[in-house]
Amino acid sequence: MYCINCGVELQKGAKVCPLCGTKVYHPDIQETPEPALYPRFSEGEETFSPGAVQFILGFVFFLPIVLCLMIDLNMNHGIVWSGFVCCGLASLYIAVCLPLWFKRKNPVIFVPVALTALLLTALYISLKTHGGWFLSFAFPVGGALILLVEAIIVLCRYTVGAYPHRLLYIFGGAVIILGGLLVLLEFLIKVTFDIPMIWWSIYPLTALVIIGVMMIIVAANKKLRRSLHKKLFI
Amino acid sequence: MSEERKAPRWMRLDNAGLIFPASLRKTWSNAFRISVTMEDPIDPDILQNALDRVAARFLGICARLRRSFFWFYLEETDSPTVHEDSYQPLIGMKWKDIRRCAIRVLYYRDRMAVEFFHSVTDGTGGMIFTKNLAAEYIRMKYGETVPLEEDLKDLDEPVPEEELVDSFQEHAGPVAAPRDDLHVFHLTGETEKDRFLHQTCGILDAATLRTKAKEKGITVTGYLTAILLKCLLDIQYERLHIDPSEDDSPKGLTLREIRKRKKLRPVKVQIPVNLRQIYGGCTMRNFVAVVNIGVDPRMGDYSLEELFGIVHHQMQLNITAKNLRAIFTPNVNSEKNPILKIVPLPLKTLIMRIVFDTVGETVSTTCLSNLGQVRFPSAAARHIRRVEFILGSQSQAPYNVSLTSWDGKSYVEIVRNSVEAELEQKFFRRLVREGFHVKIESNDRNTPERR
Repeated sequence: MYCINCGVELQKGAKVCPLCGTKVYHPDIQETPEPALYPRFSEGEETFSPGAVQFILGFVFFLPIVLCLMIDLNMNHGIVWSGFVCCGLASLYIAVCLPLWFKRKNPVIFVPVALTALLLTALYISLKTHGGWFLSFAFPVGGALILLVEAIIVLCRYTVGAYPHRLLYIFGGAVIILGGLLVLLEFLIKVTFDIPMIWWSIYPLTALVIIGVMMIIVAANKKLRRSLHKKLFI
Repeated sequence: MSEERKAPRWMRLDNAGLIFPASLRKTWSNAFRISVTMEDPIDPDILQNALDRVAARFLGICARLRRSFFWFYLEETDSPTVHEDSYQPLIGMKWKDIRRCAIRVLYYRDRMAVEFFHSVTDGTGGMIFTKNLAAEYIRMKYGETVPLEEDLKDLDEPVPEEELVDSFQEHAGPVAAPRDDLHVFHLTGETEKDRFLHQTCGILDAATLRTKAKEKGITVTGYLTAILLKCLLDIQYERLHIDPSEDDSPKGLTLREIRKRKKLRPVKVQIPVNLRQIYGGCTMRNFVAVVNIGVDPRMGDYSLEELFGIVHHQMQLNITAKNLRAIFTPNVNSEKNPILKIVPLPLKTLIMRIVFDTVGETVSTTCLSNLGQVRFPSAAARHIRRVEFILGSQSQAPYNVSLTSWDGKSYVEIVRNSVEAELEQKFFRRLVREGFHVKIESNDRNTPERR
């Protein structure tokens, strides 16, 4: 086949002339296309080098830590208030920047690590202020929350796959457990801070149990799921 | 006791190769590619085995580029792993690739290709490497006895020292030619956002090309250079809205037309010359110099016949041992300058980059590189269908033209990283008008349909 505009012969099966873009078509000639000169075009993956971002973020966190420590040492001749800033910034750094250092950013590892860093910050505050609330309050509540979040992440990551309705089971169950945690929270507040129980936690527990059960019912009922999807899709 | 591993051999970059790492940028590198298409699909395992043997023999080519405190240098390295070809030729050769190995070997269906970063060798050296790779592949795959003719080397012999010398140093003379400082016409175009390299290959009958060139009393390179110059002149006229036929108008030109003509710039095509043919030697490093052939349209329009004559005479005048020596001598002198020598590499790179960006590509409009007729011993030739040579685009100008011939066909490759196919359209249409049968092949992905 030839281009009527340029007069050059074209590759078999060419749809347009690569020189002038004229459409190539002849109703009587059926050509088997020649193999392409190169493998099919694909958008190149943009490779992102996090090195510079890590460096800048590291600097952004490191600088206020050093400044606070210097000012505190200079003013108070000891670590008085700067410890809180350092702990807070360090746990924020662990939560935000630590995953950047790794190729595989698996939340199963990094989310509990970030939450544990927060818990350790709470331990520091408790010790520094002589609060005495860490073991009896922050540790059980924080620990339970970490376990719950970790369970949600593991289940979402490894059991959902091609079955998105399993998310409803997971979050339904999680919502009910969260209700139970609120009751534990109220109980631990009474034990630690000696505030009398007025059973306020029963109200969110009831609401969360209803929501959780409804989610599980929807998860179990395919027909209901379809109907709801039809009404609610975005 | 285990045998101690030999330290890898290293060598200085040759004089021509110095500029390429300095001019390297994220989206552009000075690279070229030679491919050999076989009759059968390529077996990657055999290709890898053949490459391992050939790489050990050509350790100056299969090398990686490294940095020292003052200079870049080449270091012997293991042969690279062969990979399947990408969706375009010469896809971004970045520093992190070059510091592992400055060449890469690719395969796609029945085609093997070697892409070279220009610091390791020139087109001639690259062609010898590729020919040896193809011949070794044929020996391994088909059990052919391919004789050591037509640049094929004994892969078991140690690398001769004369293949690793920097011949520029040997042949530099006392006199430096003045730099060609004319600011010439530059092709521009809307660059592809992802720097996609369009490759348009025009396949011509080599015998017809030779005959037509002979009729005009000119070489094949000269013939195509004249046609390329004519197309570049036409493009410049179109850009400035000039009708060159008005030059001969009996009434003379209006003031406005004269002003427009003053904006015209000389059009020049850069032609690389293989210096081995002139000074002898068998170095496998870079040993090439470029001459700029062109015309100044401010003096008036040129017919194709006039261009054939001008190109022929300019080539005769410029491609002589004495003139070429004077062309590369200033570069050798710069390398030997004691002050420049002690400048740390980062600063030296910066200086070289500024020099390259300022004058590197300002003296020519585009480049036309002809590797000539490729020959293989007949035992290998019967398995080979096609041989191609592709230059990467220039850093500023979007085009480059290259040519090689194999088995009675000439493959004219025009690469472009801009959107519009302006030059190749004019060039191949002109060839058709001159009576050639041209077959076009392209890797174009987005030629707009025109009804």
